[in-house]
Amino acid sequence: MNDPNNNHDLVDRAVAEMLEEPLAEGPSAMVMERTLEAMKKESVEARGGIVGRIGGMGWMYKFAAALLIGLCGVAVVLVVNGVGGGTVAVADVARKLRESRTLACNWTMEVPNGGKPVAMKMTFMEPGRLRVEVPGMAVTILDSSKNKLLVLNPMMKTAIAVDLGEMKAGPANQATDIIEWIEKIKNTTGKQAQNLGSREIVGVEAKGFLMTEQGMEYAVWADAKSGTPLRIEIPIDMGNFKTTVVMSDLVFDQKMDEGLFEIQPPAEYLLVNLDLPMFHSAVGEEDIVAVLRWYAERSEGRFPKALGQWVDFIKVGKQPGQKADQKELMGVMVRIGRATAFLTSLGSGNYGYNGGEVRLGEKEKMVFWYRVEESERWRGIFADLRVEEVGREQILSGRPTK
Amino acid sequence: MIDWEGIVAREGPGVWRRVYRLLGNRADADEVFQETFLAALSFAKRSVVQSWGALLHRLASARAVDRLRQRQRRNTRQEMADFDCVGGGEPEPFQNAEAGELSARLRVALGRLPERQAEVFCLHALEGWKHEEIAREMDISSDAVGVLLHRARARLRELLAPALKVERQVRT
Repeated sequence: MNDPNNNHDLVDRAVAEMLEEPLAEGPSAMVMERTLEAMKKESVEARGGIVGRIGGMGWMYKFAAALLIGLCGVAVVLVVNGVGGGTVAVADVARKLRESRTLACNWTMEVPNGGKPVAMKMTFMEPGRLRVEVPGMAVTILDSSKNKLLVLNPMMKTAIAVDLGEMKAGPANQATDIIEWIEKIKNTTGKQAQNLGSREIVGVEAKGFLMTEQGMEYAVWADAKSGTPLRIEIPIDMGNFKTTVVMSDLVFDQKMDEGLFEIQPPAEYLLVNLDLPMFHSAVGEEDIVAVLRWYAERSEGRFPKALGQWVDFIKVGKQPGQKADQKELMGVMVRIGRATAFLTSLGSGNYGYNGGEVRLGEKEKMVFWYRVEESERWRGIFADLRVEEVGREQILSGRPTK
Repeated sequence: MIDWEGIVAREGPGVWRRVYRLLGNRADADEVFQETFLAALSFAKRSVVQSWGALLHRLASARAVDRLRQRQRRNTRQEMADFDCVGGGEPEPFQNAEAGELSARLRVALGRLPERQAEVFCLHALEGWKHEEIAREMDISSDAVGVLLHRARARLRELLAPALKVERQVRT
């Protein structure tokens, strides 16, 4: 008989209790039918390969990607060519990924149409800790076991701390998905893999495998002899925008300082408590309105000449003779990130901007307009910053005015 | 051509019961049930399936563990409060004595384990799989299964220990 004072059999008792619980009847006929229908649909639908699958993933991936694009610019097409053979088996590669406790790599995002790739340094440590550094811009530390997120701005010596546990829904709560993304890669079984052939990576003959792990697909290129992963490519599809995240210069099980993942800001940093409801909602037109208002109120009614030139906002925020309000600037940067994410989600053909020739308060003139996703409806932001539905003819008639 | 209707009819009830047992919630069980078969479909497109039963039960355990982890992350604050309350030294007299409490705690604790530890533990402790069977299905060594199980049990003991503390307090 189990000794109730012995916590060594506590696990067994918990298991026994679970096994003794009465089971409900199921599955219902409706669930069976629904499942079969879903399977038929899945079988028939031609899915868009790895890009399509990633496209169906969490909103946070898209948000993160859009944020980075907005902040850092655009990049280069990735060309994957298969050449030659190799001896390493996918199981070796999967094992290397699984057994590593830490992972450090460069993380770049490449997009078509040229431009500078977005580059970050990423370090991951079990259990579920992530540090992402964008050179000269920000350091983001995420500890999924504590549900804490810390964003450091080294230039301004400010820190934003976010308790993800308080967010039951919304974008910020899904930040933990990024950790799961990495965990899925690390926990790959390698059972669902396709051979991608071989190529040379930094002078090393590498063999490629297209991996599938819990609905996520990605390519791993590993040293053909040792099986050590050298490069991981993750396609992302955001509708009008397709890109590939590349993890390169992979280093496994490097000794790391736990302090890198400390979620308390350094003493010299000013901790800024942002208006957190901002994180709860999805990105949208209100973010554009917010950044336009902020800019115009500090620029004698002028709007920025172009959307996307966010550096102008920093200049406006740091006007000579005026002390910049750190909290305000951080808040604006978050808004800019959200506005960028919104623009990226719209796609380049689905919005327009005319702020360079309009002044705040000219209520007949439209500053920004966009097509509502998956519809023929258009909405416009006017120079008095009200938002209204507008006709397509207003958009197409050159310089839109009401 | 795979006879999916036959497979769902034959294996479905067993798969559903397994995920229900782990999740303790019909709505979640229904969703994970569907996810399991869709995952099996995806798997079958790429690989030859040796045993549908083994594959489906393994996928069901993995998906159910995934759901427990999601649930745990979404409700961390509340669940941590539950743990804190139990370990805080001022338990309500009826705590612990409630039937099903320990299994409920086990569900929360499983959601806090690393994914593979939780998966291996479920297959072994709840499904009754042998080390060799788990090793074969997960493509790891039997030794690795042993290590994962050992770590899982150690961590579960830590996570469940506050419940034992309360039991003792209640008895005294």
